[in-house]
Amino acid sequence: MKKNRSRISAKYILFILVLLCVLLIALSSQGLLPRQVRDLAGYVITPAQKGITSVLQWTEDRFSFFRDKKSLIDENRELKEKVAQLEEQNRDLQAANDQTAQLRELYDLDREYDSYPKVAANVIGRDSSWFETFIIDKGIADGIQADMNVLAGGALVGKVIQAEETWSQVRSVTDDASNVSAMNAETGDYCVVTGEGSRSHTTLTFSQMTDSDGNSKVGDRLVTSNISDVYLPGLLLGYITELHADEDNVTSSGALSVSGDFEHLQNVMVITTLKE
Amino acid sequence: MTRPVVYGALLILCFLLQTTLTPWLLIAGVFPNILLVFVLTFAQFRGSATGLVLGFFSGLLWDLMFGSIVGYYALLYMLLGYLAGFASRLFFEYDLKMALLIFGAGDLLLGLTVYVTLFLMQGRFQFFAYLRGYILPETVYTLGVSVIFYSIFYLINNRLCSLERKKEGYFAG
Repeated sequence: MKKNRSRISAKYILFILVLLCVLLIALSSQGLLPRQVRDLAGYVITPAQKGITSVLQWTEDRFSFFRDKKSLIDENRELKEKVAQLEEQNRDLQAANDQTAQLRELYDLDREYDSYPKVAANVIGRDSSWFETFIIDKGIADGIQADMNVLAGGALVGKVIQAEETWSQVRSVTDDASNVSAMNAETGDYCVVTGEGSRSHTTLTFSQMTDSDGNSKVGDRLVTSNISDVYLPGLLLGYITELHADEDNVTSSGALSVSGDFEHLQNVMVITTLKE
Repeated sequence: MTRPVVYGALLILCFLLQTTLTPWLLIAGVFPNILLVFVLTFAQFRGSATGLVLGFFSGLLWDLMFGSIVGYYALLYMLLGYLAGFASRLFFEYDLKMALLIFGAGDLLLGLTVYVTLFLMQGRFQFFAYLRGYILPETVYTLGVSVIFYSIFYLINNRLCSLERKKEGYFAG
């Protein structure tokens, strides 16, 4: 008897909740869902996420503090080697930089994106499913709005897609659905940079590069273009690692490596200037 | 009133574990779906009604925090919880093999549905790339982790059952 009753009521609840879901989907796809609904969830979740994240970071710091001497010696040696490498790289970059400065002037890019006003934020939660979105602990109250650009370590990591009162959702440039209008900082060729989703957190792909004269080469720097609607010009995306001509021989595509560590993003900067 | 409170706390705890531990436990770009294990486990223990209600709230929380369309994951998790609930009529006690079968099937079904509705519809036809790169690794990882969570949830459920028996004086399991 009892079992039968509970089966009927399960179907009844299912029916009501399916209707509720359909209603929610309809409302939110039309942008009619009141903002307070998301905020309500955020008030419970984000303080807890913030707490856990800071405890985890603190623990990680302690562990690295007590790391034994040997690993520090090893690390020191590695770092020295790396310094030598970087010094060499720096010389090359210096040369490239002079060239870039000229090109920037040519393309009317903002010389220093360091001058944009920024808000520092912590990454407190990540979407562990198909999408590369994460939650930061700053929101409308801190001057954040949708479409603002998000940087980490001097490179573009994404844009704000939803700003709530005290937190925001950021879509990473590694997301499948992320398309960034970019350009080769060395040659000025335009292209589109797309994320690879969960397939890769260290590389992005680019396509439709208008490189008919074949000047672009592996190692070139890709930055956000001056024709993007959302992204401010000249923000670093990464360096070309693969380049091949498309079948039409007019455009080319390939891959680029990102400079940031997307799997361990902790601190980000949100540029509070919107592209006009 | 004990059960709803315990369910609510577990739901939030699973959500927090899943969203904050990611950078530390990410393997091959995927992370286990602890929230789904929670929903499917209690659906097996308590039946379809519990499964679908827990699925609805779990999915809804995910939608609110990460989704662009609210109601999508709520609907998906709810249906999975409802389906897993039918197993409660066949199995009563701790049955890890059956549970793993349900977790595996549930996570695969979730992955396939998400691929078809959100990716295939967008013209992303590389099905095998998504299967190898995301759906299968996530299912395997989830199965590995689910053994621990299933056991914990089993103990919690037992505890709740014995509390209820004491209070109401009859078997409610």
